[in-house]
Parts: sequence; structure tokens; C-alpha cells
Amino acid sequence: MADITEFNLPVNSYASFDAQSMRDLIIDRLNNNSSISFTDQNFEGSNLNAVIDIVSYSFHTLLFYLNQTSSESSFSDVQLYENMNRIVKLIDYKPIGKQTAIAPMVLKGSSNLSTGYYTIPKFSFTTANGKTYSSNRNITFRKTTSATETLSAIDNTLFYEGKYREYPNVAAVGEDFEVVNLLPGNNIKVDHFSVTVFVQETDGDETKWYEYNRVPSLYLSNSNDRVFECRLNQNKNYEIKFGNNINGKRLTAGNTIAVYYISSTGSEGEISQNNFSDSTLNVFNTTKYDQIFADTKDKTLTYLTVDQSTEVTATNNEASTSFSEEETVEEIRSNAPKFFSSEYKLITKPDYENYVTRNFRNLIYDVKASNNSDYVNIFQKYIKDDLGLSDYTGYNNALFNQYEYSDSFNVNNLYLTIIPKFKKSNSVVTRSNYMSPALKNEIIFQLRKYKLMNGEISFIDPVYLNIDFIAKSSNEPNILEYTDYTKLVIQRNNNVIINDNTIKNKVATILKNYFDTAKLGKTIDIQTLNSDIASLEGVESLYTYREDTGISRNGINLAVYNPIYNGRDLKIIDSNLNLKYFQIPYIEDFEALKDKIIVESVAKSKTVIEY
Amino acid sequence: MAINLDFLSDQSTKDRAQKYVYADLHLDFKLQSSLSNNYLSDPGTQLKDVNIDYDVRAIETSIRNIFNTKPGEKILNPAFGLDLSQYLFEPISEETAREIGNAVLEQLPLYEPRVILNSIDIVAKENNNEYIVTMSITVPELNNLYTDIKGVLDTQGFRYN
Repeated sequence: MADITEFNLPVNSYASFDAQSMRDLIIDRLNNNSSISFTDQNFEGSNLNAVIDIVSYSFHTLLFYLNQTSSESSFSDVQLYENMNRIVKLIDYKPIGKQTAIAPMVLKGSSNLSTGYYTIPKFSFTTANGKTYSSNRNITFRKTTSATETLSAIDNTLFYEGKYREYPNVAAVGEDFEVVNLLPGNNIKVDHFSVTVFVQETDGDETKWYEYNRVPSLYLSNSNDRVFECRLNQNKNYEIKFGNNINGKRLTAGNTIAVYYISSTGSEGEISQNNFSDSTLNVFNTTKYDQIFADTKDKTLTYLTVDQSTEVTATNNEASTSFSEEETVEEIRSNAPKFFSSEYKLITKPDYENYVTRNFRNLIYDVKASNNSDYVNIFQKYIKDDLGLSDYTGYNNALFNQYEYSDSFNVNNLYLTIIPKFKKSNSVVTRSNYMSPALKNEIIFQLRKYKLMNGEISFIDPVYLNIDFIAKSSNEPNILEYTDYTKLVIQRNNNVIINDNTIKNKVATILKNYFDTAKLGKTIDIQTLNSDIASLEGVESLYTYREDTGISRNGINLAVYNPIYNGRDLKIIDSNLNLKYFQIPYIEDFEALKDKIIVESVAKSKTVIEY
Repeated sequence: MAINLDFLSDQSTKDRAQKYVYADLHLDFKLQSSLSNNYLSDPGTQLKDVNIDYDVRAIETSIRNIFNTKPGEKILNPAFGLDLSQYLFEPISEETAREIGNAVLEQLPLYEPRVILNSIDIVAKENNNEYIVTMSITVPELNNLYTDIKGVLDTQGFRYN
């Protein structure tokens, strides 16, 4: 291909034209082409000049969009969700959609329910105060007495905000990798993980419904597996894809496809503690689903009937998680490479952390993965050396996790430390928001398919470290009681017109924001806190002061300790502190800490003028 | 590949243009004349070219555009145009007419270098809410053609009588 066009321009010169240079080129060509009649292109007032301006500017605008479009095909530059979604489809990345609010329920069986094992069929729901929460899986429990009792479910008892909806039947065409688009309507918020698919297959004269299982990729499935892939596409609709008899079972022409999904009400459906208080359960039933249920149910289980369902009640002792929107373009840009590097296999620590963060993002605030070496060298060392415990009997959480989840061989455990979103920021007492056993079971259930086959998932519950002001002299021992007498003193500049309380509130807000956004294994950066506070308007300097001895220390001096063990692990810091991967700092009583902030004037000699 | 539009260059138009110094598009896009249709697959098809203003008409068009364009309206030359809208709410008076006249005298030559503006006479017509504008111009390139241009300036802008 020639490098120069017939107009004596480089072939790629179109990309370098802006409106002005385009206009100049047009005028130049009109001037130099004797076969063209026009002359007035050179005069700003002419009609022709105005037309040239319009054409040039249009070209400029089109070129801008051309450049924009070019950028939109690049993973690193793409800005539009549609384009990002298409790009990551190439690596089989499935963006996460909306996730409805979730609440763990405590179930109770009334005295009218006789003893025995029961299974609450999936899609069952409970409604109270205008909110409906549904179960997305069967919940089996045992009623042990004839009295009203709290039921210990074998499975998790998580309920998802919203009610299951029945999508109209779809007739299969019978082609390889057949795709069904779920188009429930523009304003319907479909919960990402609740899409459930049944297919009515025909074998001779017999027709029967089968449940198809959702898999992350059809290419990991065998030829006869009844599976489907579900992907949120560029239009934010779900595509349900079936197999081709090599990877996943292919549908046969005439098969009937039934799709069920939770329709969420979004953030309106979030609930506080005890929104459901002994609310009765309802078993989901429609004419079609009754047929499906009859065909697909496990005949060995005793399912709760519609009549019996009123004998089981649900209570939410914890507030729900928040509703979350789809992954944004930036989140996809961050998550897709991590997904690509792990390829449905969880091997490294970041693999586990990324998978859990991505797939439980409406449950989890932060997560850290660790191996047995970390467990022994860091966690057990902390228990033994810092807390002074010789065994787990003094540390219930560790004992429970070891008993409940740890492998008997113990050295091949993979530990997850998770900060749940439940009660993350509204606890004003000693922080104890650990993952509930129900949520832990749910995570283990999901990870089982991808984790290392020779490693079992266990948990280290996070250690919440309280923060307080403290000052001590070098020859004094580390004692937590010093915090009772310690204040943070802010010296103010009297020349700045600002209220003492305003300064105090601003200092307190800096501390609150810093620790509210802390993550596991954070480095507490005292230098940053000092400089943030010192840079406030009206602040001259700050120091930590102990009233009983008069000791003072420059800047902030903090006590960092586990409040459950009354400061056995107390650390007193005036510089940076790297927390261990299972530790997270917080302020136990913000108002009490704020009361310890004192604002005083800097003493300066003044000339007093008397009138 | 560029599209060659040579077949649109009507020979008669070209010949006519060569007799003139200035040629500009007539933006009403009135159809002017038949084009040669030898290049078309259907020789019976009638093609028409757009109208073209020549010489004094082209200059008149340009002057009208200068009068009716406010600075900022021409995308690639934001300074272009007379800012006559500032006089819209001024009383129609001789004083305002003088100011308009000074503005035209000062700025018109900047945007219309083809003419020499010899004089301008603006008469305020209070009763009709308009000014009668008479400009005497010389066009050096047209053999020093001397001509008067008359128009009306009102709330709709400038137009020729």
C-alpha cells in the first residue's frame, strides 16, 4: 500500500487532523484546483467559508469519537460497561450482577411440629413489615423435642431478599450451546446467584423435569452433565447457555426450559435486626413449580408441606447485608486479570482472597487467606506469646474453628480470615462480628469446587484491636490503665477564628475515618495521623498527655490491644505498627475517645492595651 | 480511496466562473441549471447544481453575514462578526445610529478585505423600530467598482432592501 494518498497526504494523516487543519486543507485544495469554480473560501464572511467550517468541525467531532471508540476496544482504556463486558468475555470472565441483601435466620419449630427430620424446600420465603426474604436452597433440620425449639439446620440458613419469580416457559431449539436470554423487564433486579434452571426432557412417552446446575464454565463439564452457564451480558441481561453434548448436555428440540430467579427490591429490602420476629414460613408453590418439585425432589427427604410451613418461624438476629450493584468497569478491570491468572483454580493466597471477595462481596468487608505455616508461626504465636494462652480453651473462636472446620491432619488447612459486613460499623461494644457458622458453611460449599484438593478450608476469626490514647515513661511497664488518664491535647492558634469544639470534632473525625476504613493487616501510620491533624486549620501542634504523672509525648501515642483479653497484647506506639494479617483496628467507644481530646490555646505573650 | 466528483463540475458553470473574480455558494440552495449527465447510467436523468453568487453579489452576501454573525457563532473563528446585538435594547436614536456606524466602520474592513468602505450612513427610523443603512463601497479587484449597498437593520438582523 502506498504511503501517500492521491492528495499528497500520508495515508494515516486523517488521524492528525483537527478542525483547524482540516479547514486549512480544504481551503488549500479549493485554491489549488483550477477545475473548481469557487474563490470565496478565502474570505471569512462568505457562505462557502461557513460551510467549510461546519464540515471541518464535523470531521473533528467524528474523529474524536473515532479515537474514543478505538480506546474502547482496549482493556486498559475502556470506559463503557458494554465494551468492557464484551472484552472480558474473551477470557470467559463473567461479571457479577446485582446481589440482593442477605440475612441469616434463626428458625424455630412450634410444638405442633412433631419430632424428626424435615427439609424446607428451596424458594420458601417469609414476609414481615413489607419485606420478603427467600431461601435459595433446601434447609434440612431436626426437631428433637415436642416443645417449641430453635432448630439446628444442617445447612446454612441464609435468606435472600426478594421473592422467586417464574419466567415464562422457553421451548428449546436443540442447537449446540443454546442460549436463552433472561429478559424479565427493565426495572427487575435479578439477584446474580439465584438464577435456577429446570428443563423438562422427553424420553419416549415420558416427560420429566430435571434441575440443571449452574457451573462457572461449560468447558469444565462432562458430556451428560445437566449444567448451564449464566453470564451477565453487555446489556446487563442474563444469558443462560447450555452444552453441546461434549461439554454439558445439549438440549433437545422441544425441551421446555423453566427459569426461576429472585427479584430483589434493591436497597429498599435491607432490614435491621429483628425485622422478622418469629415470622411464619411459606412454601413456594405454583402449578408449574409443583410439577417440577414433584419430579426433582429428593425422595429420601421429608419436605415441609404448605400446611406444616406455618409451624416454622424465622427471626433475623442480625441486620441484613447491603444490596450491591453490578461490578463496575473499574472493578472488572481490577478483577478480570486476577480471575484469568487463577483460571477456576484456587492455588495462591490472592486466588482465594479474590474469589471470596468477588463472589461474596455483599457479605464480606475484607478477607485474608493464610496457610498452615502462617497459622503456626503467626497466629498461634500471637495466642501463645502475646495473649499468654497455652491452649485453645481460653480462645473459644479458635477452638470452635479447629473443631468445626479443621482437617484432622491439620497441616493442610487453608485459613480464611473474614470481616463480615454484618454489624461492621454499628457495634459500639467490644467488637465480635465474626462470620456466622451459616456463612462459613456457605463459603466452604462454594470453594469446594475450586480449592486445592489436598487442602481443607478452615477459618481464623479476625482479632479486633481497640485503639486508645496512652502515654508512659520509658521505665514504666505497659499497663492498659494508663489510658484512663491519658488525653490527646491539641494546641490551637488563637489568631484563627475557629471554635474549640470544631477543632475537636475535626480531629475526632480524622481518627474515626482512618480506623473505620481500616482493613486486615493494616499498617497503623501514626505519622500520617499526626500530619493530618496538624494540618487542620487553627491547629499549632499536638501531644499526648497523662494527667496522673504529667508525662507528655509529642504527637499521638496509641494503645493498640485486644479488648477481650484486657490488653494482654497491648502495644504502645508513637510510630508505625504493622498489624498481623488477622488483626484489624477499630475504635470501641468513639464518644469516649472524643471526650479525651482537649483543645488548649498556645500561651503567647501579648501586649495589653488599656483604654 | 477518495471519491472523485469531477462529473459534478459543470462546464458551463466553470466557464461562467472564469469571467468573474469572486464566486460563493448561494446558501438557499436553489437549483440553478442542468448538469451534463453523460457520466450517469441513465442519461435521461436531470441533475441540477446549486446557485452561485458572483462578484458584487458574493461580497454583499459576505457583508450580510458579517452583520448577522455575533462573535462566538463561527466555530473556527470566534472573533468573527459584528456584535450589533448589544444595541438591541438601546433606544433607536441618532446617537445609537452613530455608535453602530462607528462599529461597522471599524470592524467591517477586518472581515471583508475585498472592499474599501468609503462611507456609511445610518438613519434611525423610530416609528418602524429599524435603521436604514447605506454603505458606499469600492471593490479594487473589480476595476475599482464603486457601489452603494442599502439595507435595513432591525430586530431580525440585517437584510438588503
